[in-house]
Amino acid sequence: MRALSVAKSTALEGLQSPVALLLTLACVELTALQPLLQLHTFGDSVRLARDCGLAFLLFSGVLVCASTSGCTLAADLRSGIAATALAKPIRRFDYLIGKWLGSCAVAAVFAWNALWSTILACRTAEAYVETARSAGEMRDLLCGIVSVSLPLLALAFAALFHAWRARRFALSFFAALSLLQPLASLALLGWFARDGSPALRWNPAIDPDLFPAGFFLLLLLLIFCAVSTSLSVRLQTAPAAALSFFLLLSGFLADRFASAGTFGACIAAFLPNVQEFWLADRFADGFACSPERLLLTTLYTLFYSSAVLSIGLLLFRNRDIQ
Amino acid sequence: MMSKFLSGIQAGFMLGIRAPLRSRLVATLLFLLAVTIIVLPQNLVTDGTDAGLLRMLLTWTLGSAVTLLSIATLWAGCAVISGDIEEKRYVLTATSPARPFCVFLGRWLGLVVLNALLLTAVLGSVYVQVRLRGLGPEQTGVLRLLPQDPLCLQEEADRLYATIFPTQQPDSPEAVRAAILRDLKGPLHLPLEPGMERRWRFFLPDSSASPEQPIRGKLRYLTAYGSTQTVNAVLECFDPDGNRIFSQPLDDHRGLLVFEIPPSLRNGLPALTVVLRNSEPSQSGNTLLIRHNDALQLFLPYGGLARNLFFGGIACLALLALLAAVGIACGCCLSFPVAAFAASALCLIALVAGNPDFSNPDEAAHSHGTSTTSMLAEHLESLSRSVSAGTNSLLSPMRKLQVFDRLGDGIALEPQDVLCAFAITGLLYPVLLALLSSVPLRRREL
Amino acid sequence: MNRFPMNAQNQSPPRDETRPVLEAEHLEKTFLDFWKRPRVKAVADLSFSAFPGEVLGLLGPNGSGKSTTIKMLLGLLRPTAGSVRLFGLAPDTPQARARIGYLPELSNLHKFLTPRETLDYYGGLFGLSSAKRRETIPSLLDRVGIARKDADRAIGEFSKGMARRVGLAQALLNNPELVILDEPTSGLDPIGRHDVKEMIRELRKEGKTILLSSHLLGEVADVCTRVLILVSGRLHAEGPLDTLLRQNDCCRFTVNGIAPDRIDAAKAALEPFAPNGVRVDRPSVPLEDFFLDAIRKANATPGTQPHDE
Repeated sequence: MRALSVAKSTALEGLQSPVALLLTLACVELTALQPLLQLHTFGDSVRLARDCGLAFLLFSGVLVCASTSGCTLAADLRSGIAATALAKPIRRFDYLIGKWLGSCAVAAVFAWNALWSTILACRTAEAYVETARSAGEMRDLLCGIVSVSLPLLALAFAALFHAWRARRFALSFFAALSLLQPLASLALLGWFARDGSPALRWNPAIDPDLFPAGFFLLLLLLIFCAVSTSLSVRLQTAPAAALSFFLLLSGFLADRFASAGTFGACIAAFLPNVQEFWLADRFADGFACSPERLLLTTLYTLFYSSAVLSIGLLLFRNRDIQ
Repeated sequence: MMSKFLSGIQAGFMLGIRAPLRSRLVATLLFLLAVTIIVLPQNLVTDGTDAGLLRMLLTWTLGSAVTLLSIATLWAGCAVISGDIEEKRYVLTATSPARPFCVFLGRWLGLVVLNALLLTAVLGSVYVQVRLRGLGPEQTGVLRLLPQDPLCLQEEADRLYATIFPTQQPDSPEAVRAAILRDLKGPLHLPLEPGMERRWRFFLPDSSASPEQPIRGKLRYLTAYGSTQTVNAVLECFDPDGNRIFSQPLDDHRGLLVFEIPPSLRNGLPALTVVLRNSEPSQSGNTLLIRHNDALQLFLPYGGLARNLFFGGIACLALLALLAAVGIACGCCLSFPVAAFAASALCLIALVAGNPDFSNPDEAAHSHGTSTTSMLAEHLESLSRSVSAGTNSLLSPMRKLQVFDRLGDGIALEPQDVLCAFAITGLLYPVLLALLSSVPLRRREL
Repeated sequence: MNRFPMNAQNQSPPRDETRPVLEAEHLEKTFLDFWKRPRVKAVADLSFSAFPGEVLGLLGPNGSGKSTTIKMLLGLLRPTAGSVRLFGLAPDTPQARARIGYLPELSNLHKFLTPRETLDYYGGLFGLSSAKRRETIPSLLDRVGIARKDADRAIGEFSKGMARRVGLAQALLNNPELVILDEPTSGLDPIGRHDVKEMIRELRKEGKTILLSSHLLGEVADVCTRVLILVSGRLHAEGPLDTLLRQNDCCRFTVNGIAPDRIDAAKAALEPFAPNGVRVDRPSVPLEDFFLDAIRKANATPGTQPHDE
């Protein structure tokens, strides 16, 4: 219960930080712009759009995790806010878990928006379309314009609520974007064909592989929320972010370390195996994620996060709070 | 007056050195640099050759380390002033008589000196690794790129114009001449049809410099038939009196001709004219394609790796100094997270603007046959050209150096180019940014 | 300009007839929101001056505009209306700032620096030569009560009071003519507070002008020659302290050595002259004086050693 209170305040604070807003805006806009600016696609426009969107989700997401932990945990410890909270009847364990859960909530909101932006980008990207009037490679310009405009529309809504009702700008932005993107996607993809002509009946042709691919990346972001929360107990935002990225890049090499002898295998055991979470290509090749696979990956996420948070708790338990 | 001015800068400098050193940022950076320089090369696979190993160490490893330092410097710069303002530490500095310009310069200087120390450690460890890997002077020798005569380009353009229009003149001959000259200078591959020739003229240094060393040359070209068929072409060298002193036929399928002009043939010549002639019969259609401006390069041995690393370090320091100034400038106007974001975006735009595809999307689209360009892409194309042209002209002293490519290829970095780049990119631009930033910093409400 | 009689404790040098050190005329500050709409009017139509040798107290409840006023005087905030002149100059000019010492309410210092390095940094910003800094810093640290052994410890390890003393030292580094102190005794123990008050008295004797903002009315009463009272951003009262505090309708006699059995007789003798009655009580020593006296006596007693914090 106390951990949930901490989580709620952490999530609110994290969503209102300028970094989360800027990163989300940049990620969504870049994902939306990418299919409109593609030059060398060799027929792989949709796959490029998908992979770019998911890559933006992953890399920006790690940065969101690090910055959220930095501005909510590291800053609180430095400024004395944590001292006020820990003087209440709350265990340090609950406090740390609450901070992690709050970061996870921010990462989830970010991932939700980035994923819908990727869905729109895949639709915008050049693909072969055959209609009664024409046949050939074409982009869905309507979808492209809408997807680029949605974040700006969300900003406008947030500005309106801020000016009119004094609502918090960042929260209004995230709320507006989180609603607008899925609604616009379902409406656009359902009621309009790729060539812009209205469809006879509602039939949203959303690539179903994107949802499990996005979910796996969200699980990976939960791990990095745990990593950055543990690091923020002792480090400021910049070093924590640097080490998080270092861990991410090392995680990409985890399978290579695993095949490099005993020492490499030991290192690989401690690294998150990032390749296991990047399944976009496998889904596109017809791979069907079984419930067992999903359960195992979720359990891996929980165990890894628990292990990392345990280390964080050990660092936090003996830390003097000023 | 001057002593107060310098005193303000010195105070900011001492703070700029102490604060990062005593925070955990530098320690984390050192750890990551150590991993990048020492651990990473152990896990990378080369092509098995000494040249490949050297390239990996000098280009990839050094490049990764400098990239890491660049990101850290940019963000540290953003935090310098904005962090002090947010933590309410800047109030006391703002109420002192020190001018914001001096405060900016002092903190900037502190970051630059810190980077110089880290860069020295990085370069030193790379040099030690090169030696420990058994790469001696023979493998790590550096070659100096011989300069081309810039007047030769104009003469070549005139000669080509006369070849293309021997009798009938076009409507606007000056425009056509200018277009030919632009094409010769540009990145496009131009055809060398059967029977045609191209000329270059190179200045040779005083023969007392490396008198025993041959002149090495590289010619890069493409052929119409690719690797399936060679082209009957010949490369000839002439002295200033027009006497042919060297000749080499093209016999390489890979599009790269490597040749050596013996030192005895140099014989104190001040310049050398090189002619590439396509000797194919006119009906064969076997055309050579060359990028005139950089297809042909002549080299002379010139010093060792240590000297090149030193000048490379100065060039990298100039870049880091500029990034520090950009970061501090953004931090003067914006809060830290917004400043970091804005500075990162600016640097990304500058980086992408240097990409030929970004600055010249027409050629990219034509050469790869992309089917459609959207209306948005067309509008953005003109914007990208403008941004690219502006950015490239501002950063041309640095871009011209091509530091990591030259270090990896063993080509000497010219001291005057490096020092010019340092003076402009590493000193002039930061001072201008300091002047510009002092305005919002003075007017900012605390 | 009229002369105002002072009480025995707060004798001030004769007021200089030359121009004031500080002039604020019709100052106003309205804070705007993001959309540039007025949100809070922190200061409204405030005018006052400070002359050389004065100790001017700035009083008011929370949110009355004291810190905003001080920041406008220093050029940290731009007034919405009105003007500020320091030594006849605009407040944000280096020439004016070279003659000011300022201690903000929250003097966050660089926690990685030692007191010596902190003062060296600010001394450099003031344009003091390194020789001058080397000469001044040790005596200044002694003056504010930072022991030699603490001069080379990081400020991040200090208590709030110790850090405050370092802040006070930097405010005096350039031997300023105008010293602005915002809650100078915040976080200090009673001995420290006493030392700060003594320092303010010494600065006044040196002819410096001090602007003091504090919630501790006892301190203001002890050292200030004139006070301004702000309420909701407006000047509510202004004047020399003794004039403001004097009760003109009664007077006090202090009788030393009177026998207890003669008190009633003395009271009866005065009653015909006092239609509103005579009140007799025994005066008490201020707690601060009692505390300091106790400390002094304890330190003078053999075998009692002061403890290091």
